[in-house]
Amino acid sequence: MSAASARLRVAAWLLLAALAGATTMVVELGAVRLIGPWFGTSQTVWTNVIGVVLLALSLGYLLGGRLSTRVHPARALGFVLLAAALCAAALPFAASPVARVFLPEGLTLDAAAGLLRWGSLATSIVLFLPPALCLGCVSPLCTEVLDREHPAGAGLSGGRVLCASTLGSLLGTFATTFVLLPVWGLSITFACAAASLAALAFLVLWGTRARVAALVAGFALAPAVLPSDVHPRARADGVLLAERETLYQSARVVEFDAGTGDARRELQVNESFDSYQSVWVPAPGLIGRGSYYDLFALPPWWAGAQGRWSVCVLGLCAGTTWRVLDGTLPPGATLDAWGVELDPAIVELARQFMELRESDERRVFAGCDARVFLQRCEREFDQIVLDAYANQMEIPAHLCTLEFFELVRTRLAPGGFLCANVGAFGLRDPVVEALAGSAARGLDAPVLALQVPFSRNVVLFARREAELPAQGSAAWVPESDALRALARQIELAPVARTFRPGDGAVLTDDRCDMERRQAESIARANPDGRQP
Amino acid sequence: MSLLACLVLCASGATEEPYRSALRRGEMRLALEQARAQADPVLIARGEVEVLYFAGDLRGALECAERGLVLHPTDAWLGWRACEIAKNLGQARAARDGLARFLAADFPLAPGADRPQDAAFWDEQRTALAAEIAALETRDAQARRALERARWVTVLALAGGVVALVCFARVPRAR
Repeated sequence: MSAASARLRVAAWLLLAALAGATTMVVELGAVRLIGPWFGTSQTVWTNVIGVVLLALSLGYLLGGRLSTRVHPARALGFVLLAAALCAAALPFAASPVARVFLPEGLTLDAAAGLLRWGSLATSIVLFLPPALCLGCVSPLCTEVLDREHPAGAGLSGGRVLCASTLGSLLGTFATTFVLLPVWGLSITFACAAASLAALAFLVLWGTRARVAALVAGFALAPAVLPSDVHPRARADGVLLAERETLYQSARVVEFDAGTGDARRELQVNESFDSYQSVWVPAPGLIGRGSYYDLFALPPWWAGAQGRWSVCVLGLCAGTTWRVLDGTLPPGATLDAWGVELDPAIVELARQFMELRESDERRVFAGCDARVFLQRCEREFDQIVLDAYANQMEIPAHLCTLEFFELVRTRLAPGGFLCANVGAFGLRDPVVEALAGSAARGLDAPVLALQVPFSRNVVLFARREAELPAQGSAAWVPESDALRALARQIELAPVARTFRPGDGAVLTDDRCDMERRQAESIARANPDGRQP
Repeated sequence: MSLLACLVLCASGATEEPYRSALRRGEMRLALEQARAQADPVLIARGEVEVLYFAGDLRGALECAERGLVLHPTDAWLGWRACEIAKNLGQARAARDGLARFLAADFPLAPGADRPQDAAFWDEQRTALAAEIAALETRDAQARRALERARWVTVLALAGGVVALVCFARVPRAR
C-alpha cells in the first residue's frame, strides 16, 4: 500500500468516525423534539434523554471494545453501523406507539402530568438506547481498525478517532439545531441520519466482502423514505383547521361547534390533553365559564381607565387576552396593546385562523423572549399580563424569579397592574406560593391570588405603588353587567389569598426550583395515588 | 355538571332559603353569609356547598361537602354533591365514596323533594354518575398501569446495563 493510499484510508476511517459522531448528536437533539409532542421539552425530559444516551454510549464503548477483539473488526463495524441505521430509520415510526404505551390516550392534563417524568424516561430508553448503543460501538472499532492497519500505538489511534468523532459531534450539533430541524423537519432529519449510516455500513461491509449484508444496508434506507407521522392527533370532537410543526412544538388550530352559537377555535400544542393555549370565539369580549382570560378584563375597570390603556401581554399566543380586553374596556378607554410571543409560527396561525390583527395600536413581537423583550423595551404599561407557558404546564424558570418581577416593576406605570396566569391546584399550591411570593417581593406590593371559577388556574394581581380594590367593595365590582357577575363570583374569601412581600417562597435566578414545585403540585392534586 | 343537574340543584329545595335568592342575584358573599346563618347544621353544609359550587370553587365545595358528611353521613344530598364534584375534579376515590353514600340514602333527597317524578330522576342521576365514575376509574387505572410499565422498563434497563457492564468490562482471554 502506497503512502498516499494509506493516508487516504486513515482519512476515510476518521471521516467515518466523524460522521458517526455527527449522527449521534442528530439522534440526541432530535430525540427531545421527537418525544416533545407527548412529554414536553422540559429540563426533566432533556435530562432523561441525555442520561439515556450517555448510558447507551458508555455501554456501546464497552461493547465496541469487546467486538474489536474479533478477527474482523471492520466487518463488526459495518454491522454495527447497519444496526444503527435501522434503529434511526425506525425512530419516527416508533415514537407514537411507544409514547402511547407510557402515556395512554384520553388522559386529562392533571392525570397525564404525573406520568411525564417516568414516561419520558421509559420512552427514551426504548427509543434511543438501541441506536445510541450502536453508535457508541463505532469509536473503539474505528480505533482498532486504524491501529491494525497502521500500527502507531493505541493512544495515537484512539486520540485521532476521538478527535474526529468529537468534531463530528460538534458539526452535528449545530447542523441539527440550525439547519436540519428548521429546514427539513424531524422525519427527514432522521431519514438523513439513517441514510448516512446505511451508506457507511454499505461501504464498510462491501469492503470487507460481506456483500449480502451490504445489500441489506442499501435497503435499510427504504423505511426512512416512507411518510411518518410524528404529530399527536387533535381530539376527535373537533375539526382540524391547520397544523404546523414549529421550532418549539407541534401546534394546531381546532374548531368546535362551527356555525352554532357556541362556536370556538382552540390553539392546541403537542398532546394538549383537555387543555389549550389560546381560544377564539366569534365576538370579542368575555370567553365565559372557566376562562382565566376573563379576569384580565378587571384591572381597567378597577383603575377607572379613560383614554389610552396600554397593555403588554408576555406569551401572547393567538391574542385571546387582546380580544377579551377589546370587548370589555370601560367606555372612553381605547386599547393600545403589545404582545410578545416566542414562537413565530403560532402568530402565523393566529393571523390566519384567530383574527390576530396588527396595527400601530396592536404590535406583535414574534420570536422574542419575554424577559429579553422587557429588558430592551423602554416603555411603561398600564397592565402587563404574564401568560407564558410551554407544553401546557411548564412555566419558564427565568419568568418566575425575583429578578424578573423587579424588571416587570420598572416597566409598569405607577398604578399599573401585573396579572399572571398560573396553572395550579388551589391557593396553597407550591407553584402559586412561589410565584406570588416572588412577585410580591419583586414588585414590593401585595399580590392577590384568585382561584378562577370552574378552572384549574389561579390568576395573580399586583399593582405598582397603589392598592388593589378590596374584595367585595364598591370599587371591586365593575359597572359592566358581564364583569359584575364575574367580580362577585371571585369575591368570596375561600377563593382568594393575599401574599405580602416576605410571604411565600422567593425564587431567584440563582435558585429556581419551579420544576420540583410543579411536580409537587401535581402529586398533591392526585389524591388517588398517581405520583409523578 | 349537567345543566339539568344545576337546575335541579337550585330547584330541589321547595322552601326558598334566603341565600338562594342572593345566589340568583350573583351576590356570592351575601349568599355565603346567609347560608352560614341558617339554624340547621345540615342546611348550613348544603348551603355552603351550593354557594361555593356556583362561585366556581369546586375544591372548596368538595371540602365543605366532606365536612358535612362527617357530621351527617346519611345525608343523600351531600353525598350526591360530593360525588358529582369529586367526579368533576377527577378524584375517583372521593367520587366513589360519595356515590356509595348516595346509593345508600333514602328519598327525599332535599327538603320538599317529594314529587312523584323525583325518584326516577334520582335513579337516572345515580346510573349516570356510576357510569361516569367507572370511566374515571378506568382512566386512572390506565394511568397507573402506564406508570408501572415505565418504572419496570427503567429498572430492567438499569439492570441490563449493569449486567452488560460486568460482562463487557471483563478482559478477553486472548486476542
